[in-house]
Amino acid sequence: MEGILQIRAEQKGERTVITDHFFQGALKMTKPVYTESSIPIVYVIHVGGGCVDGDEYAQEISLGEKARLAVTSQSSTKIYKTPKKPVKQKFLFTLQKDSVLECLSDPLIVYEQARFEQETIVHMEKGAAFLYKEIITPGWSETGQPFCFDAIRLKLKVYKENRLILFDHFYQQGDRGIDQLLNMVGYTHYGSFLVISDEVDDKLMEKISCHLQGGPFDGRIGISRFLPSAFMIRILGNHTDHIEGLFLEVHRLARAYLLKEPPILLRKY
Amino acid sequence: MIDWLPLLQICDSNFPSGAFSHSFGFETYIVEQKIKDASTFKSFLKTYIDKQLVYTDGLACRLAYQFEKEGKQEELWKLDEILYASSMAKETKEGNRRIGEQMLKLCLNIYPHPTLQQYAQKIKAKELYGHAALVFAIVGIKIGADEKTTLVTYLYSTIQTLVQNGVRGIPIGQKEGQLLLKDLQEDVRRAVLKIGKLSIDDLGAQLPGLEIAQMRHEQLHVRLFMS
Repeated sequence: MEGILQIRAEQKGERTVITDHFFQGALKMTKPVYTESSIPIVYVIHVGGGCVDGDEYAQEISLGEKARLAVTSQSSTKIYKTPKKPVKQKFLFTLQKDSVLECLSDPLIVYEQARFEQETIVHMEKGAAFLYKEIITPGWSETGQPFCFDAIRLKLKVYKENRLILFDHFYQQGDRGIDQLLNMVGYTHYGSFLVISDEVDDKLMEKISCHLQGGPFDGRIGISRFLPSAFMIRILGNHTDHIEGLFLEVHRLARAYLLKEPPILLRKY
Repeated sequence: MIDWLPLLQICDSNFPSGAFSHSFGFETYIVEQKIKDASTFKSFLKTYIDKQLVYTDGLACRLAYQFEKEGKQEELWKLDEILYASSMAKETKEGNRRIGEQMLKLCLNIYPHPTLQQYAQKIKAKELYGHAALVFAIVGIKIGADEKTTLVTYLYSTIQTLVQNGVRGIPIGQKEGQLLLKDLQEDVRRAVLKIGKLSIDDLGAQLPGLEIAQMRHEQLHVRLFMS
C-alpha cells in the first residue's frame, strides 16, 4: 500500500474538529482550515506527485453526528504509465446522522498507457448530506492524441440507511469508440457533480438548471433529479476550467441553499 | 430441439410490457437531428447494443440466469438493486422499473414460478424495484431454454422494440426497420459472445453521452415517448 489516510471528525459545540487521524506513505493531510464558514476544509496531499504502476491507496473518512467537513486535494491526481498493474484507489466514507461531507477533489489526469481503478463507498445515516465532484481529463501523450490511456474504471456506491441508492460506474477504454455519439461525443473532458440531501427540492433544482442553461458552453450538459433527495449533473466538454467554473457556481448555490453556508474558498497552489 | 414457441411469445414486440412508450434517450437525438434516418439510427443502435446492452441489460440477464440456476437468490436480488441504482436519468430509471414490473405481472400469469412470485412480493414490499432482464432470465429457466438462447432472445426483443419505436418516432419505413433488424443480428451475436467474457465487476458501466441524452429528454417540449 503506497498511501493510507484515515480521518475521524466530530461535532464539538459549535464546530467540527478532527478527533482522530492517521496517515502513512505518500498520503498526508493538512490541519483543518477554518474560514468564515462553519465547515472546516482538509487538504489531502499526495507527496509523490503522481501515481505509478501498481500503486494502491486507501482513504477513510468518518463523520460523527452533525459533523460537517469539506475535503479537497492539493492538486490534480495524476496517473502515469502502468505497464504491469493498474493503480488502485479506495475510498470509504461513513456519514453518521445529520452529518455533511463535501468531496471536492481536483481533476483526475490519466496519461498514456495507464490503467486506473477507483472504488468509492459511501454509507449515509438518516439526515446526512453528501456532495461529490469528479472531473476526468486525458493526459498528455506523445502523439498528441487525447485518449491514449488503457482503461479507467470508477465506481461510486452510495448506501442510505443500508440501502443501495446509487451505483455509478464509469468505464472507458482508451480510444475505443470514445468519440461515438453515445459515449464522449467527441469531447475530451468528463465532469460529474452529485448532491444527496433531504433538503433537495423543486426550488433548488430550478436555480441550478437555470444556471446550467445560462451562459454559452462548449459541451453537453445533463441534469436529473433521479431520486427525490438526489440529483446528478453530467458534463462533457473540452476544458477543465469551463467545467470547474460551472461546478463552482453549482456548488455555491447548493451550499447556500442546503447547508446555509457561504461559498467555499479553496486556496491552492 | 428447443421449443421456441414460449420464447417467441415473450420476445414479441406486441408483448404488452410497456416498452413501446420508451426511447431510452434516442428521442433526444431525434429532436436534435442527430438521428434522422435509418443509417443514423443504425449507428445509434450498434453502440447501444455494444455498450448499453452488453454492460447493463444483457450482462444482468446472463448473471440472473446463473444465480437463479445455482439457487443464489440473494445475489439475484442484488442485481435488481444495482440495475435500479445505476441509472442517473430519472425517466430511464422509472421506465425500466415500470417495464420490469409489467413484465413480471404478465409472466406471473402465464408462467407462474416461485421466484417470480417472490420477486413480485419483494416489489410490493418496496424492497426491490423490478427489471425486465431478471424476469426474462427466470422465465427462460422456467420454460427450459438454455442460458445463451435466453440471452439472445432477450437482446433481440429489446432491439426489436427499439426499432419499432424508431419506425414510429423518426419516422422511417417499415421495410427499412426490418432491414435494420436483419443487419443488427450480427451485432446481437457479437454481444452475446462479449457478455460471456464479462463478470459482475463489469456490470452497469454507463455511456456518458447516452446518459446526458436521457437526462435532456426530461426537458423536451414535444415528446412521443416517456423516456
